[in-house]
Amino acid sequence: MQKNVQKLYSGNEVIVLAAIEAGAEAMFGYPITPSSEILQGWIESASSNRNLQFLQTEDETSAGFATIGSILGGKKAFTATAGPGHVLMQDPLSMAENLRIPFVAIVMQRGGPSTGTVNYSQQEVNLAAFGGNGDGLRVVYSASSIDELYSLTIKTFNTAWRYKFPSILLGDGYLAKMKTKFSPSKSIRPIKSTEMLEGKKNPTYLRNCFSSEEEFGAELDKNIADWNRLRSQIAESEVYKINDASEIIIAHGLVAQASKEAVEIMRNNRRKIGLFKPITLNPIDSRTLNKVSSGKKKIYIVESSRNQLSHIIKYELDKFCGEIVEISKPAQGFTAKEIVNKIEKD
Amino acid sequence: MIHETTIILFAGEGGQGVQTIAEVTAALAIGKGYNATYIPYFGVEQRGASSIAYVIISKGTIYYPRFDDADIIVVMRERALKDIKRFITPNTDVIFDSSTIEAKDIHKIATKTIGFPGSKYALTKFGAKSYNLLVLGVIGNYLGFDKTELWENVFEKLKSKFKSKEIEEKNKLALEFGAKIVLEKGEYSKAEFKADLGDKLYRNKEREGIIKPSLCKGCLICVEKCPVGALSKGSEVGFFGANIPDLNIEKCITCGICKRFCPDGAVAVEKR
Amino acid sequence: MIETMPKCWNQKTKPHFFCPGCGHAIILKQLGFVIDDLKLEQEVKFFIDIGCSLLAWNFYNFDTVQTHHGRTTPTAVGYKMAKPKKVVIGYMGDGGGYAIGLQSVLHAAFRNDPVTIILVNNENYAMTGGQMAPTTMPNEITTTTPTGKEVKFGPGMHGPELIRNIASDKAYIARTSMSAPEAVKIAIKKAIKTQIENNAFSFLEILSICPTNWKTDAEGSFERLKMAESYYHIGEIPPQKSSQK
Repeated sequence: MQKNVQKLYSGNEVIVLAAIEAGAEAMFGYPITPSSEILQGWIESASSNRNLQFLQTEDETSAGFATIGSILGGKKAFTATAGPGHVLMQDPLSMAENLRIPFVAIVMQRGGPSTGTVNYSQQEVNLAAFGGNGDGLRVVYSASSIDELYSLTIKTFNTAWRYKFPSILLGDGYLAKMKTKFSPSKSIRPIKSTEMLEGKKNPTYLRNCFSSEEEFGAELDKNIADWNRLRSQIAESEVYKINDASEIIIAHGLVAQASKEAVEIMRNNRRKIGLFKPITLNPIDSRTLNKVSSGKKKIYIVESSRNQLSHIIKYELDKFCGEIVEISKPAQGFTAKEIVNKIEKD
Repeated sequence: MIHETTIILFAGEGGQGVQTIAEVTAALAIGKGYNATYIPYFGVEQRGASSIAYVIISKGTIYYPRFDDADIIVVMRERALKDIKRFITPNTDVIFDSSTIEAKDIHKIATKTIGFPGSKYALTKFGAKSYNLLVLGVIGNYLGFDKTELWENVFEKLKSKFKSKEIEEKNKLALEFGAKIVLEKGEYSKAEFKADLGDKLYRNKEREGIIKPSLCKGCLICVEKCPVGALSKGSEVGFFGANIPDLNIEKCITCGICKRFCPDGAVAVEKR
Repeated sequence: MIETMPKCWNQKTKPHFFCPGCGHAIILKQLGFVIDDLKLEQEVKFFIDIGCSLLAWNFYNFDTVQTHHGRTTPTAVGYKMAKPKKVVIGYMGDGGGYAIGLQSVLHAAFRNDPVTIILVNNENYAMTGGQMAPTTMPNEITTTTPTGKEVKFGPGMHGPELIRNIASDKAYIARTSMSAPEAVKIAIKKAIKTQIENNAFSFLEILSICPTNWKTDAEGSFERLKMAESYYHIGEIPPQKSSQK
């Protein structure tokens, strides 16, 4: 490439680079806007790297189950989807959750319900975290920039394979399609994948169907105990200008980026406001959340969905005595100026 | 014998009529002006597991249809003993089929025990299929229902299954007989109808055969498929309480068809 | 000691969970004999569906994965891609293969994925209590067709005849009946060999019995099976080459 020509990277392209960096070996997917370029990019990479496998399946459900099959065979496999495809993906996600299969799904959120819009949304938080017919033992990351898409993709793989909980990275249509300058951050060492069907002396039986409440309850108890033990290790957040703040904005994903800018604007207007950005939406970094919110006057929860983040945050807030203001615009984005206007009007 | 609230657990084998007995019991109680609920145990197996039913009868409101402690447990098959253990308290009356379950096995898990040789009477007097009505007679009588109301409820529930007047009459007799059985306390019948689960071996100069009562579910496909009639429905019962086949080793031609078909891996004959 | 079971059956998990006289267990026995004959115990990975097939989750001495309803095929396909040398068998009922999971079966055939699908056709949804299946024959009474299956619900679905239209000419497609276990064994062997030797898709439908839901004794079960055999063609149903360009 010529010295003066800059290559721009889209979010979807960056995810492919990160997945390869994370040691991913196979991808299964069904095209759906705005995540299709992940599958395309992966297949393009596979054309020059024979270690990378792929299959464009007949639907998202099959993509998910083929991913599971591949993982059982020892491959580090993943899928990417969005919106209605994410709804179908709950079927394999539930199986992975019950069998503790390290399943990675990259989800580029789009407006819903139904086919909605293809552009942008934060309405797939509940679906990602609690969408299955279980209790939501899945790790959900939310990325707020192209750089973070890269680092969190790698982290999502490592978390899935380290803790054996299905792990989902949430982005959105803007992040997926926007293009900007990108240089990969220092890589995190990938975790090795192992076969789950070893065929050794004793056969491995993987089942997720049980006959009695008690028998199944014992299985669930084990998984929930692991989740409770590990959640503080998994949970992550970022705080910004929080120390002297009397008010906090809580936002994730791209809205957190706009909120950061809004904090800057309001700080210039001498308003003492800071930002708490959950990086994992499930589990929430409740220790930091409660530490930074303690004694604050007001919390503004800003999101592009009808209070999905707010429900999670309110549940986690312990002893917060101030006021909570919910600012939500389902399936629409926020500029910093809009956030400032809403907060200053309040 | 129904108190303010009476909690009953029924346990036995799939196909023994456990669920019918439980449902009719609940219906009888409602007919007497009680509140009653019945729920079946429903796992993924249609017939593979023990059959269990939960019944609550009460003068008051029944809030929740399951329970921890039972007042009465009716156990019809040895195999179900492991499933009833956790419902037994020192006050639980355990009513058991003393012709198939040994008293010493019941005493390991319960203190208040009542026997009735149900299988013995059913098999010797009415046939295996009347077992459920015989047991219902026993339980109905124990709970204080009279035989007319018992029969009316049974008839309502099962009339479509009584294919002939003769079958209907036989079942009615079994029910009435059950209601008259004197319950055993302290002196129990011998468990002479208890399944002998040891392998049954057959042998002559040319061949040897095996039938495994511990595995045989009594489908009798081997009898149906045996080309020379060497297998027949036997009089003994296996682990699942069903009649197991008997082998006539002299007639057998060692064709291997029984082994090929047997879904349970319970029969085979080989040349010596 | 006389052996009553295939060697690859897990003796510790017997008696199994299937009903008395269940056709599944008879078919799983033939599969067991084939795996013994071909000495594949260490090579086979067994994927099973929802429905009565799930009761086989601990049936054999080899690795077994119980998937979701209709999802056995894609799981098996994903596994085979990861471990191409393993012998991958998907085992399902007529609901898993011809209703909820049909499109995955069709696409596996369409792509010629080298997996073996064994589909047990007992003409009803057995685990849930004998409801209508796509394979339920006209006029048959089930719990969801109490007056008999009407024409408006379709006749009995002919799966292999459907799949042959899009399958590769290397694929093996057949229907057998449990009434002839030796033929079932031969067909299973062919299906597995198609996977191993031709690296191609194989699909075997096996007509079966369901004494619990059809309420039949041993004799009645096989009489019913005879009826199914006259409705559904028995034998190889080879791919129709002309449709694949």
